Amino acid sequence: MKVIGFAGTAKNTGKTTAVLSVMDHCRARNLRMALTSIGFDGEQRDTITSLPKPRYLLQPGDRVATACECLEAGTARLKVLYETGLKTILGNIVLAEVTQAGMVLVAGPNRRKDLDSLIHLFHEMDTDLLLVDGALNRLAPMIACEGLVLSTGAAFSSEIERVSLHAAQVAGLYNLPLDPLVEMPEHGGCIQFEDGSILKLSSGSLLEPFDLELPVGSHVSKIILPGLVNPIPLQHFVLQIQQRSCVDASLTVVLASPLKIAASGHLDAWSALMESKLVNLKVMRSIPLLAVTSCPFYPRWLHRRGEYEPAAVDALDLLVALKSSIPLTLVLDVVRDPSPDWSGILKLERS
Amino acid sequence: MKKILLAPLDPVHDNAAKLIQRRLSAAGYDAVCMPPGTTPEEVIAQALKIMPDVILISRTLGYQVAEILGHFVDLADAAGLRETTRLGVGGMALTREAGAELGFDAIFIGDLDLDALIAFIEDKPNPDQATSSDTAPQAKPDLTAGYTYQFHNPQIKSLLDGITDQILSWAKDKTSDGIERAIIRAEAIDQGIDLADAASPIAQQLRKRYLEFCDPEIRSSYLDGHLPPGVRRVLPSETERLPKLLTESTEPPHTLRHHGSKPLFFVQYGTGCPVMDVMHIRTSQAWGADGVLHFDPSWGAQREGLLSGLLSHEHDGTILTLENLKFINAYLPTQTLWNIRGHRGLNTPETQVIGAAAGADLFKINIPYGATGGGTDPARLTVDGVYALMLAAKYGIPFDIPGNDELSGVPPHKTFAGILIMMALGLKLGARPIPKPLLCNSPYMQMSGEMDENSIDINAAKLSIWREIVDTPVWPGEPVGFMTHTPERVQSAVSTAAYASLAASLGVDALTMASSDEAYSKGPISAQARVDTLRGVREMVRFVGNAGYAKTSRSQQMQERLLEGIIATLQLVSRRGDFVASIYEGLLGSPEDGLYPGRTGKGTVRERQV
Repeated sequence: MKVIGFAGTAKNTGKTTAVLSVMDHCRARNLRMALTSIGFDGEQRDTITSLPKPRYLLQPGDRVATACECLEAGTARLKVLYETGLKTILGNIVLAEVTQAGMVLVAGPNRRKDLDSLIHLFHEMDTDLLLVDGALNRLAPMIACEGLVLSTGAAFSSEIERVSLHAAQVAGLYNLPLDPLVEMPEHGGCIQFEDGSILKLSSGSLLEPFDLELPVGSHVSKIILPGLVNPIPLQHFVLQIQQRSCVDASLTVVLASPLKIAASGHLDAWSALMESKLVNLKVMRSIPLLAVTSCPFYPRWLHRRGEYEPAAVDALDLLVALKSSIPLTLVLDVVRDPSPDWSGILKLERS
Repeated sequence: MKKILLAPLDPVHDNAAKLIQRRLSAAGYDAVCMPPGTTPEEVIAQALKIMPDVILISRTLGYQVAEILGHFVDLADAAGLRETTRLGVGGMALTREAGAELGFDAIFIGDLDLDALIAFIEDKPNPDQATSSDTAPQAKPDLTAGYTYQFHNPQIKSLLDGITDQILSWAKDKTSDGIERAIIRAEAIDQGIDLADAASPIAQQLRKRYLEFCDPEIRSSYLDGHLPPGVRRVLPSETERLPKLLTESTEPPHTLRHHGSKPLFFVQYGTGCPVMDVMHIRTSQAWGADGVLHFDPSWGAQREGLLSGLLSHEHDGTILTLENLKFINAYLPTQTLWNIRGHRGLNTPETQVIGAAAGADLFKINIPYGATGGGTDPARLTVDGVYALMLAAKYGIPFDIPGNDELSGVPPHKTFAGILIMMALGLKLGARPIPKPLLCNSPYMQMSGEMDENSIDINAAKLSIWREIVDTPVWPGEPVGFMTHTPERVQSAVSTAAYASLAASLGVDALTMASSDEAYSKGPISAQARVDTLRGVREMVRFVGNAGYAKTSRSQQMQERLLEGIIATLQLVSRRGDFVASIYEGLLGSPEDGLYPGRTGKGTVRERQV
């Protein structure tokens, strides 16, 4: 089974539309599909803007992992296969199979750990593909997936230049090299020295300036921070170490994953740090960024009427700008091109 | 001691976070509050230092705010906090669906519910939000629980004993078409037979017997399918939409009470359409109504026999059919009390039968009112009313006794005397009565000037007198503030709220409220007007809180005069020795008071054939 995550740079960037495009493609090829969400999807209207949203129309045989309270809310008839015990605000998550076609509401696991558990359960079933719809700008749980489709567009910013710059910064993170030697506890940080010794840090995260008592002349090999890291204190920390130790011009810093880096925000600062050559960033784990989808839609707030209205930037301009900013990544507008070769893009094989 | 980290992810406002910190600290938690303007990253940094059990975020939801909150959740996940720390969020504009989308573990909507918050901190089920899948449904509240119905006034008890003995003796061997229909209807329900089922031979037999006791108009509806003017069958397309409409919002209901478990707040419905009724009921329940009363059209009470099927009516009042009631009950929230009124017409006994079959929690029966203001012949309604009380006792369903004859101009002591007779009669038959004094600016009040100086003294007297006489629940209605409403919705909502808070502060068990456009809607009552009133009542009940109205000497004097009037009225009825004649002759409300004996069903009482 393949597990593909669909993340977004913001709300309303077209995650669900991308998932629907994949579902259409896979249904035509008789692939057995399952669907879940790390948020809440399939509702008729957006929970914040009240504008219409794309909905999930599932067919008999499709599977879905959703919260109990969503089971009766759609029009599809569902047969519960398994109660997972995983909790959400809308009740515990169940695995269900569609017995009669119709709309479904999907509210799945919102923590990475729970998504891991769910994926494990789906592996036990006869399923070819699990699609994990994202939520808002959330990324962290998606590390549990094997590949990522990122949606961006005017809902992130109605300025096309900002969208394409941001996309370039995000895509750059997925090209960071892996550090294959790192075997660390999930959240413990440390400093490795060239003689093989290790200095454990109190936390694997670095969010504030941190003063380290390091003997002058230490030969630091690398810094490993598997938690949450802010690039500004990191820069301060690296400079501090460089002042007290004998290290190369570029100090190796190993972080958890591109998703965690992106989740921390501050992409401008990350880009600046990477360009400064002060650090040689690596990641412990990565997932391939398989495609970026481009969405011109955005909800425009009308002050006078106190409500949102649908608006859009020029779709072609946005697509061209994105393709130009991330030339090494496939960029799609699934509305303009509704039949991409998802089998090839997602590297799908029927099990 | 569990650690709680509170953070207002808001540039300015931190009142909610500070309030919760104070309450949680008082409840024994180590609650730390971060200042306004704190960023998500700063909250996570602090959380990594103190490793709280729970982080509570306070923020009003808006478009770009969603990304801030989503970013916070993502940071918590990325920092590994979510394996040890649970995340809750509260604030305006939040919904449970938005909470799920944002990825929080819990969401708190509306006013602070400390019990729900502590349940979340302790990782226990929230008693208010428990779903049917993980908890057994709670029993509905019983308004009569804990009351002994012991009379404190021996003189009144003695008078009532004599009057009710006479009533029971008079009615003992009498029957009516209404009673005969009730017997047939009960037989059909017991056998699981639909009277309108054309294919069933047993249904045909029962229907034939039933229709012998019906008016031609009702008979025609069964035999030819002709419905009365303004009545039509509800379309499947209308009912099919309902489940979806009801699942689009899952916001937990509000409560109108500021403290304690009483009073229960009831609203009236009867839009004419059962589908629209369900929406009104669910709206009212969401905004704090604990119970609802089914109002049927007045013409239905003046016909012999009940229609059949899921029917809509283009004017006020939802037609009493077993199918309409079952349909409404199917969508009734599990905790919402449901009253079916059958207190004034020719179908009083049968209404109890179909009400019980459909799942009613409360009935409404009042012979003196129904036999005067309700327009039904006193003899007929006495016979039918006694039978209806027997059914209420048989089904174990309490009945309330509205004092709405006051609306015609009857002084309250006469109305209350009639209510007391109904209470004693019900108790003698094994039923559980609930008196319903009417809080209103009635014609009598306007003539007597008893509400000229203030609206509190006389109404406080009308409420306080009941427990001076008998240990009983008290449920003012119907609705409170009747005849104080105007076409202006704010005025009407404020007036209802004032009466409701007066009643609540005087320890009543329940009260009934009208929507703010009920008297002057000139068409269907709007759901918005219902919410106006419920919000107004909530604010006023909150305003009064656990304070109360101090009884004045004037109010005490009014109460004493009321008691004297009740006793004098009961003495007159007792001396007359004939309850039915007492109504005909105006002892419980005369033409001079503005009350006339009803005429519908006159001459239809007959001796029961053995």
